[in-house]
Amino acid sequence: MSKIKLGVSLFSYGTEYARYQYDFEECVKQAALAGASGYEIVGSQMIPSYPNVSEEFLKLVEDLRIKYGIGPEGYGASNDKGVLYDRNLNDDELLAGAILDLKAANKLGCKVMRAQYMLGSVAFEKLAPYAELYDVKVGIEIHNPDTPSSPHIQEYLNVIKKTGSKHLGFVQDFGFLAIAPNKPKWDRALSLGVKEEHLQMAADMRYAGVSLQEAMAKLQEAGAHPAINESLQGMYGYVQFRSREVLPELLEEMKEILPYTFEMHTKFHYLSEDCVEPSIPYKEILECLKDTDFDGYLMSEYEDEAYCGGELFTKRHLEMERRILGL
Amino acid sequence: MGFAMRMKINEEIIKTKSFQAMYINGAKNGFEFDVQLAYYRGHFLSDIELLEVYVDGEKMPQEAVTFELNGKELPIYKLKYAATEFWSQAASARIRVIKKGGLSVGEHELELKLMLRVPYMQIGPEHNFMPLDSGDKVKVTVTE
Repeated sequence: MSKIKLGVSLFSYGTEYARYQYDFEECVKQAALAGASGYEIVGSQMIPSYPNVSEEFLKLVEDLRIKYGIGPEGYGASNDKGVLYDRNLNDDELLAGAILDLKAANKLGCKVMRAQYMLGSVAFEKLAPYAELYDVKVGIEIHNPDTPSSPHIQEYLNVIKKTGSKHLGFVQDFGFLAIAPNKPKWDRALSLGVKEEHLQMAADMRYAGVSLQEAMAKLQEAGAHPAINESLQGMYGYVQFRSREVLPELLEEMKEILPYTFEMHTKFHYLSEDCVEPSIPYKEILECLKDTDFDGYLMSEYEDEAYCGGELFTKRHLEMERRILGL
Repeated sequence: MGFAMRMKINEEIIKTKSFQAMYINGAKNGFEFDVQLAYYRGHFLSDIELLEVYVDGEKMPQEAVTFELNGKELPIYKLKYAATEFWSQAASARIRVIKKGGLSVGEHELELKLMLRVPYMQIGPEHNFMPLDSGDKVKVTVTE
């Protein structure tokens, strides 16, 4: 039996935060209200003293832990390879930056740090002894359009196996398990005047493996509204989806790297009133995960394509997870 | 300009209520306003690739414009070297523009061109990152 814990990435409230409707305390409070037993903080989003954690911010985090009963469990790092104006950071510089992230994670008491694949496998390997010293597990985020079998994810897997470090692994983002078009993007296209039949045609071509260029040409031929191109970019980009037939294979990929997985980013873009995510098949995924020995957080992460804020959907998302997992 | 990402996450980029005249030796000789970054996270100032201010379509000279964050006022040319100065998403920066005599009474169009690199989204070989457009164009009213 798995030892699944439910958490919320405060990223889910990014819109409310950017609009000053929520301050940091309100984000933590909302996560607690949604039923999280811990949260993920994205350093570059909500830590005013980033990349460091000031004593003042640490005190706030500790005060809120007492007040709402939850604290930071996951730290979202930023691996800014392009931070210099004239060249990319090299591996040693990316490594040095990641060590600073480890310090921040450790100071906040986070046991898991999510790193972006920009870090690179060379810096990742060299990070192992530092991660062990700080006792923070570093997980490379696997994010759509990548899946666990993508070549550069496999490169990271080789490093994990080679070092044998228990502090190197993955964070799996459920976006790669999407099997239907993204609903907010679909609705947005409709509101811009794209006809549903053209969206359906685009989705069918995506399922059939038609190339982006060919799909664009065919839709133009069919007289589709130009806003279809934005939908197509999503369907072939970071909100892409695969056909339901390949779901068993994708779930196998998920399970194969489970021994190296520290945390799941349970991604969602929408939840209907009856708590269903229209593009990511949560029932199948969680039923599958329930029967494994996965021990870690499911961090609910709402990506606000509709810019409507995350409060309601995040509540529904945890409700859905609890229902399926019987928690 | 080619494709650039825009994130309509903020209520405002230029904080119109913060707009005010700037005084030099007691006389109106410019203007200033606050800006919030339009992205879900903050950026180091070195990610800023372009920052220009226009009034009614006229470009303000770069040397007359400054960018202030955390009490540190910088000339625009230094932003690209400021890889240790972090601009939090929720914090406003102050833009100051010296303009002799200030802006005339009445309505003006204030435009900020603000382009950044998204430093973790490499979109091509070498130093090629997703461009982010955090610019804004608003109407401001000068009353005196």
